[in-house]
Amino acid sequence: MQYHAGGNVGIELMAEVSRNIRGHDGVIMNAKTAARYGIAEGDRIEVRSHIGATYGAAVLVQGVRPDTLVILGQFDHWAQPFAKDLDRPSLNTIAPMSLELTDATGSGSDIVKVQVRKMEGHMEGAQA
Amino acid sequence: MTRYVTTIDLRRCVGCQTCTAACKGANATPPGIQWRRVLDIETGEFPDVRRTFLPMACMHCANPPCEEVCPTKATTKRADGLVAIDYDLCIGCANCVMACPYDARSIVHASHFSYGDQPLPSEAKGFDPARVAVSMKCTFCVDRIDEAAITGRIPGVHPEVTPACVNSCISGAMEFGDIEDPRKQRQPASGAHPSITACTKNSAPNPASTTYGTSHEETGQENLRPRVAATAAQLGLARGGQLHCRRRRWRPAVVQCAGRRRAGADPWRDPARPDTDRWRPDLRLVRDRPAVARPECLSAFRHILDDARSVRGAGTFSRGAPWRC
Repeated sequence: MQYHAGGNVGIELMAEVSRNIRGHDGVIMNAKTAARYGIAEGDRIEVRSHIGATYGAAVLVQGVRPDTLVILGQFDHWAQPFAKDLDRPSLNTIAPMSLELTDATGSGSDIVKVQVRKMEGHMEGAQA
Repeated sequence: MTRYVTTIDLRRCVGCQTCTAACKGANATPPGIQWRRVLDIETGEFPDVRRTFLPMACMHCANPPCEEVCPTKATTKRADGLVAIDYDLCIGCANCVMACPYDARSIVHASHFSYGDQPLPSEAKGFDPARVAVSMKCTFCVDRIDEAAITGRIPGVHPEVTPACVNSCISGAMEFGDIEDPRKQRQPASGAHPSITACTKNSAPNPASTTYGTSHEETGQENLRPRVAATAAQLGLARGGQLHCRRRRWRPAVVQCAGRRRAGADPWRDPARPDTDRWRPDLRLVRDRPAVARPECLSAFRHILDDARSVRGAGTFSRGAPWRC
């Protein structure tokens, strides 16, 4: 999905429609792994790498590897009205910029080793 | 007779939500209100997991439960198959919202816009004060359909008189048209496909107007794509009750594909669209289920998913995992 990127995130319609896609506004996680960590659907979790941490609602699915988390959003939004209040996790906060891992199209291999832990609270509006 | 239908080929839907966005744009629905949307449904357990995209809107049912419960007769079933709401008659009682098994209706009690109280220019243009505090839902873009009656253009053929969602579909999963329009049956080389006539004759007189399937023969819209009908014949699928959109209260017929390639002949290859090869299904038929009693919201989809599981063979598809969407 392309709704997480660039100017599109400021468009209310796009943000709304993108929520129809499961996990678009959270951290996608294998349900069994989540159970092991004591994480329930919609729990606020921290995903921390060696360079930073990002936060979002856990979206529990079967269709992801038990040892992998997926974050669809790549861009942080500090300033744009509307977009800055979306409170979605961002991969760019935790994955390092690496020219070695960037291909000719400008797309990077955005993979990073992380630790995950449950935070206090439950995020409203998390995708079921 | 005219009867407008939408057919949705679940093999082709990629869940991109373009129809959702197109509908919101064309009908200027308020934030959070989606007349057309695509459900994202996961079944199975890791590692045997399947993801299904299910486009959803008002099904324009054959026997609409919303019409039944409407105290003011605001909801009516038109002669051409469309389920329409007269906003002047609607009192916003929400009986129909509760009755709809597809969760297709909504009521907004105060106007609000994307970025607060003030509409964007596009929202101001499409804003309809008559739709505040009354029930609303997908209209099949009724203004375009009605325009077709004046201009003589054909819905489903000419985009300006075709619903926005169907126009926008990037993969051709959705088609729209008058299933009883003889003009369409003449377009392709219909003589080569005797199944077309047979299907039309066997079709129930008044099935629901939205059907899912993996071919237009199953969905009863064979006249739009005789190629697919011929393909079903080549695959040796029995013609008759199960292949058709039979009259069912509220529940569309679903044939789910297993997505595997078939050895030998390649009936799904369309020379005009070589890329369609990728979507070639392995057709399985669903069990013919009896009509269900009035279900709760969304439970209609549970039946669709149950069918999807059952056609995959016991235990191989879901391992009994609950459905979710």
